[in-house]
Amino acid sequence: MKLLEKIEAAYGFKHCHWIEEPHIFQTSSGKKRVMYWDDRELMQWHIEWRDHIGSRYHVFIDRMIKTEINERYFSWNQKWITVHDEIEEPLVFSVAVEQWGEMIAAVLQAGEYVPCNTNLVQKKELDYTSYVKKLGQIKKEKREKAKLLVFLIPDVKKRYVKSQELFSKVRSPLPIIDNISSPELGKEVYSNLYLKGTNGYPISGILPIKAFLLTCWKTYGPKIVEKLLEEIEKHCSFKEQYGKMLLAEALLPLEWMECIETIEKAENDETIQRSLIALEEKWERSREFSAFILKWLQPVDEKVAL
Amino acid sequence: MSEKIDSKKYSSLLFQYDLYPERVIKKKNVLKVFTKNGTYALKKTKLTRSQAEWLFHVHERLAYIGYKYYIPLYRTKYGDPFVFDQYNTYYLMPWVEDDRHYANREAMMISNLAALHNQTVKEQEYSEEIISNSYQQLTKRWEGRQLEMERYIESVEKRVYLSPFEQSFVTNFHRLMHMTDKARNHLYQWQQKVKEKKRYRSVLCHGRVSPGHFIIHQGKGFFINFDHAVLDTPVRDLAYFLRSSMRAANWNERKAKDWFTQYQERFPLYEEEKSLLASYLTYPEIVFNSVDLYRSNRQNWPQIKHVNYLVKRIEQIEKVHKVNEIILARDEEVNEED
Repeated sequence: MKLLEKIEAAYGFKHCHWIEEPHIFQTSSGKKRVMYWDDRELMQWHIEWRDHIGSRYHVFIDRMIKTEINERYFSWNQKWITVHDEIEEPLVFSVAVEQWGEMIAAVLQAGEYVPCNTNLVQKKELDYTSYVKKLGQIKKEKREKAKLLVFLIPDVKKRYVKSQELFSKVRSPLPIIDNISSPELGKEVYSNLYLKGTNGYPISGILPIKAFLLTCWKTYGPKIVEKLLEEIEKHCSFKEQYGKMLLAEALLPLEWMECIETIEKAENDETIQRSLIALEEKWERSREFSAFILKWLQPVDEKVAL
Repeated sequence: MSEKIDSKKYSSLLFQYDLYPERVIKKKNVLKVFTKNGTYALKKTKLTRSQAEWLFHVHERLAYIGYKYYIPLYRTKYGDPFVFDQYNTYYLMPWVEDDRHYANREAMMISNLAALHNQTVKEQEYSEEIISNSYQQLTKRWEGRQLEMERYIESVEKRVYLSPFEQSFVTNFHRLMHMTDKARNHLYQWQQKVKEKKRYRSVLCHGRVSPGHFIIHQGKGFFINFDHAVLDTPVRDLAYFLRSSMRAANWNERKAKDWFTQYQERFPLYEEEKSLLASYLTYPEIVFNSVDLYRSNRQNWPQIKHVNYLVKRIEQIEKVHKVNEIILARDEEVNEED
């Protein structure tokens, strides 16, 4: 039996045919997408996490559609299969800030609530000393061309230490969330937000949310981010619960670390130059973004005093 | 009466059922949704999440026990039985066209109600304490209501000129008080009999048994709206049904007797339950409620509407003694047979 035949039988869809085999197919109930999972436990975390976010009338996450016998997945050729709606219509961010606020709050709440095996959580070594070491190990001729990375070390250290200090003050356990790091993941269905989840391993903390806010900040400017933060605040006490964590994430010199990794692998000068230009831009944006978050975190009376 | 609704308003909700509305019309509290894949009833309610969970449990239970006379809920494509927004809770069912001209609606309804009670009945472990508490709580509540009405009548009687509503209420007041005494007496009988027999039972009560919550389709009857379903004595549903049927202009003793007989054939009431039913029916709560309505006038009704409402409630309650005769007469027959 072919996959589409199996899907038709299991879900009761009619007139199925592939649009982009093996991912997107058409049914009489609209376009659907197949997600393939190698790790059943990861899939089950995604199911539970998305179900907890649920359907909120004006905001949706691409939950697993149930089969006719109420199963959310089935096995196929040593993989696990889930079926989702395929929504392509892009969502205009500026008109959906309220919906994004509700969604981000829901993402965090689900991240607090849904249990996750620690083995599933993505872990990345973000110790700056190991990156300094890595920088030292880069070939001399490459390093010569990337002196900026060396000059930035004192600032990197300052940012890193401050960030760690803040991390030590945040409560644990941290929320565990999907890598919802870009507004591009938001699609529009009947003027509502439809968030496309990933099939990646979850992340502990709010790094994806910081990345999301930073992208919005870059693309739409600080005012819209401020509005988004207010919208999130309407649905959860974001400032109180996650404010320090957000600042800690913002201070972490990730762009510097990423640049070292790129240069380490770079095979030509052009790549090195491109990554250094990108670093300059990202570094400045990070600085401004951190200052913005710091200001946002300060109580109103302190702001007045400033 | 039906009202055309902008179907776009419900598109995102119906998207969760993979339904694309072509036309939506409002019929009372239900939206009739026309799609390429069929016609559906979308119910908009104020149920809280916990009430919705209970409703879902009720539906699951009905399916599990094989009860056939209800309209099931559809789940969303994600498996949720309800969709919530900030203010409302929605659920979807197939649209089942009601045969409005079906002659013997109440008879079928009472028979299906008896089946519901029969299939869900559970004898409770006898506890004298629970019975005494239930008796005392209800007696206390009734006495409290009676006192409120007595105070109201005192305040009314001090006036020189009474409004038509007040006049009607004053005229009937002593009769109503007599009914409360009778209701309390029936309730006392219930308590005594339960204590003697050491038994009581509960069933799944629909909660709002009325012709408006019953659909007849292709000669079969189905209950809708289990939003107020509760585990309680079968008398709760029966009293609701009999009381609401008394509002109908074509009500008569013969019909009431037939319905009660039909119910009894499928689910015979205990002797003590009949006393409880008589007490529920006799207590003139519906009249007292009309006084509350008049005094608060939340609906901004004109005086004449309040008077009409009160008169109809009094007429309704006047029929009670005839119904009680039917209920308790059968009781005596049973006693004689015993």
